[in-house]
Amino acid sequence: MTFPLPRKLIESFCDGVQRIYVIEELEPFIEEQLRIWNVKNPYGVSEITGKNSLPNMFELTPDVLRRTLLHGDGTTSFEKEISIPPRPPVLCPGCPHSGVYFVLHKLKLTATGDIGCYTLGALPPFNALDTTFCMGAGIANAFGIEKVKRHVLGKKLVAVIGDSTFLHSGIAPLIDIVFNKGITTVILMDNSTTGMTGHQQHPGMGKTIRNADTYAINYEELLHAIGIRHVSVFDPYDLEETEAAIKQALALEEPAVVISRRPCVMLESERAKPHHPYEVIDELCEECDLCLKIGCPAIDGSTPIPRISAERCIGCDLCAKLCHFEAIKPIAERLN
Amino acid sequence: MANDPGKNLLFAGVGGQGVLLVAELAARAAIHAGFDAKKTEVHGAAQRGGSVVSHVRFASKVYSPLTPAGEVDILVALEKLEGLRWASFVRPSGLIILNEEERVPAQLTDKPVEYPRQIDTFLIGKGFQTVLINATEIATSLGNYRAANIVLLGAIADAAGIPMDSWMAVIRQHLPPKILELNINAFENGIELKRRTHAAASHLTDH
Ligand code: SF4
Ligand code: SF4
Repeated sequence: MTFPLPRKLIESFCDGVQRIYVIEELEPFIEEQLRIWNVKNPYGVSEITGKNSLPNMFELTPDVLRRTLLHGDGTTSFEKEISIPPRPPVLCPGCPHSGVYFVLHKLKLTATGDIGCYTLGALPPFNALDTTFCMGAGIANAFGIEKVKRHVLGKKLVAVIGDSTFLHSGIAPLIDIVFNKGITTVILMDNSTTGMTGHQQHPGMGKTIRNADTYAINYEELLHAIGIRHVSVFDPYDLEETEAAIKQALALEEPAVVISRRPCVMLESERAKPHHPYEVIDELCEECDLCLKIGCPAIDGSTPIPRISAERCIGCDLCAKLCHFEAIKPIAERLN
Repeated sequence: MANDPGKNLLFAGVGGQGVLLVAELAARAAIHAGFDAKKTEVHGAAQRGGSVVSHVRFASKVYSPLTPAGEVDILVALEKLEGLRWASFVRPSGLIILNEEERVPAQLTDKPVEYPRQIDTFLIGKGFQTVLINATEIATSLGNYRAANIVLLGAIADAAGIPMDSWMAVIRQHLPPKILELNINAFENGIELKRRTHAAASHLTDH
């Protein structure tokens, strides 16, 4: 968007038209500017059609314009005739976040979330996140809840934030917690990248946006410097270690940061590693569906015996860890 | 190309299936053939397994990349349910190429998701030219299931009205050498399959 707006260009354009429409998504930014300038056309019509007719939410698709400006018919979706279930985004097969969310769900913790792929932890099967506002809010929300509700929640509250969001806007609220004598536990989900928006470099990665070497922030040092004394690191593929680390931090009467450390599975470097897909052994499966609790999209749970897609499974072993019957094994094991 | 109305294409699928790549190839093929082309996409969730859709429009002159509902000439669905989701965008008796692959969406509520049955029958009932292709299986047999998107692209090559040498030129130009042969194979398989189903269908109507 150009700012300041090209006034002469806009005024000379409006001069040659009969009616002025300003079609912009969300807030009436250009429209307000035109009104301030009191833009008129030769017909003296200064009445501008804008947000008085158009919604200030969602995309302005051709159908929305047709409905609102031309009073035409909207889309005829087939939804009334056949059910079309929505398809929400999901965490990737083998996503390190799934290990953390499985544990949060298991421990029945209240968790304040933040902005990133990991916001998907709010969806089933995890239902692990209770709030999501804006970047950095997860930590501040947790501290706020702790201030007013600690007597109700006890020590069953954690904040969850990704590495890039943390560096962007998580440090200030954490300083607030230390400064104001909080005891909040924060889970820093360090997957070594900015996952959701497409793997942009951030100050914790040691690479600039142009991929040149640069200083990589050392989280442990940073946390110590702002006054967090308890910092521990766990591997989210190790569910027992994950649970122990979170419980240990929660038991403290001081602020703590536990770092979940494992790279995003979509990073080129991770994808280049050999993967050994798993399968469900029919004879061993008791159809208990416990493995579905890891929320892996490589597992199709619509059949009585869950099916693992050999193409999509990356062999993280998480689902196998949940199965009580040792029914999930690497395909290679059977072939050997 | 003077006053060629061109075509409105819509590509739909699940994040990770390669929707954006085939849309890109189609737009570039149209430009290579001398059309004006525009493309837009919804891909915030592309890596996260959500619904992904990309509009491609080409003609002698294109003003806006979004095709209004009811005006898509050809819908390419890399996954069946995604085909159903976007079918209302297709014009009456327009062409829908459906991959047979079914991916059950993740649950949003505590109720398990019921995958709609007989999507193809429903779409045929609506009067669309519906072509079902097992692109994933074909791609797997050619060496990599990921090439299913290119099989489906091949299936619209004739109907799109873009010359074959333009298709081939952009495929050669934009796909890495390592997977080029596989993808050319996949593309040609798609062309063949569509021609065969077309022949079978006209055979049916002949009688
Ligand atoms: S957890 Fe094991 S026994 Fe239960 S459904 Fe999954 S594979 Fe079968
Ligand atoms: S091992 Fe299990 S949880 Fe991990 S990617 Fe494969 S199917 Fe998914």
